[in-house]
Amino acid sequence: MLLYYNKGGCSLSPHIALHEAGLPHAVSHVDLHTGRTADGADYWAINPKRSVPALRLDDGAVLTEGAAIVQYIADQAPASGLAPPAGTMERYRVQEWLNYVGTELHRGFTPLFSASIAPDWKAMTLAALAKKFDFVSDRLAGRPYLMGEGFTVADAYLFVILRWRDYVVVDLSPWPVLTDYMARVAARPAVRAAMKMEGLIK
Amino acid sequence: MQLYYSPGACSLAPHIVLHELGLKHDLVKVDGKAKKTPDGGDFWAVNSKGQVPALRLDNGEVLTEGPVISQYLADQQPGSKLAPAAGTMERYRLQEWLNLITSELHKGIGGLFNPALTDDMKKVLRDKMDRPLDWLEKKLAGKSDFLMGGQFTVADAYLFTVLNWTKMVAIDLNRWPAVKDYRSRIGERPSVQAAMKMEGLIK
Repeated sequence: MLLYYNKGGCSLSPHIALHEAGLPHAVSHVDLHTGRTADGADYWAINPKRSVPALRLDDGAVLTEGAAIVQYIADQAPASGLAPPAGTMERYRVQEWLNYVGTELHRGFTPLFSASIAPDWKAMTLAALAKKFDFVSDRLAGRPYLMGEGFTVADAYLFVILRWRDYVVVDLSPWPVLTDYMARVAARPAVRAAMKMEGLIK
Repeated sequence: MQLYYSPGACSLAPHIVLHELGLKHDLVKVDGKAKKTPDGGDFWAVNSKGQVPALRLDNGEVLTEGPVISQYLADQQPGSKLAPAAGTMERYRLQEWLNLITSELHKGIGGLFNPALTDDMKKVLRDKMDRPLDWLEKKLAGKSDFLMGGQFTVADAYLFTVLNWTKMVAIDLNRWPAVKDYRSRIGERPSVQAAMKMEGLIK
């Protein structure tokens, strides 16, 4: 498998999942401004949606959309516990989290990356995010991971999106449950390995 | 099963799915602003996210997030083919569509309903919709069938639901004729008509 990624982007979530699953894979960095991969290939032809992540499977097929990719990865390594078996109630619960993180947090952060965002828009965006942080913090209180004791692909995604606080200066300190959670996930060997590969840590 | 919905909101998608499947269900209309159910119940207690749709299962558990509810419903009746079997490549393809619809289109188009947005902000957000709609136009052009090919799936119910909002937020679908045609076609399905009638959206 080959993962197309952008340093620190939402593609870090499947990158972490690949390391957690212990699946052999290669990675290819994409420049989202030029549409070129590190080896000069035309990424827009690989993923016409022009976004990362994309995962090239061994048969050549390309899978897109982070929430779909991480479930595919988890299903290749069922013993990893990264996603409960399909058809179980627990699997739908992981999907609930993936959808929530994708729509409320991932999309919630997006406007902050715009250099031209007006101050009142920024304030509105941060206020909306604060409510989402309240919700996630409530749900995480007293448990190490979103689903309880076991780390799942939903945690990989949540960690990656909350990590963006470093890029767009969002202060998580009013939510100690979340800052503890971030430290816990960041300490996982698979998370460190993926972040090292992307040059995010030494 | 009980589906908590608000008329015309994204809860219309699982509502259509329930009709497609012919599954027995009750509807509970949620006042989206007051977060109350018709009997005065507190919707926050049903779904602590305060959002529709929510599906109460027969054992009392509550499932949330539209794309998850729709997949759950489809899985209750595998023969219906509203979602390919879990673990198949086709199922991941369905999830690709659901994720694109939920993150790009639902959040993009639905975000324009926010009353706190200024006209300038709305313009920026509306312009951002060109890219996903251009992409969708290419995927749908020249095809008379559904997102996944010849088979109607839960992704079609969802896409129809969010495309239905475009007029209300001043996005003119005439610029994307294949998308507009797709929306009309799906809108004619008996299940869609039945669900929309139940929600009081059509007569």
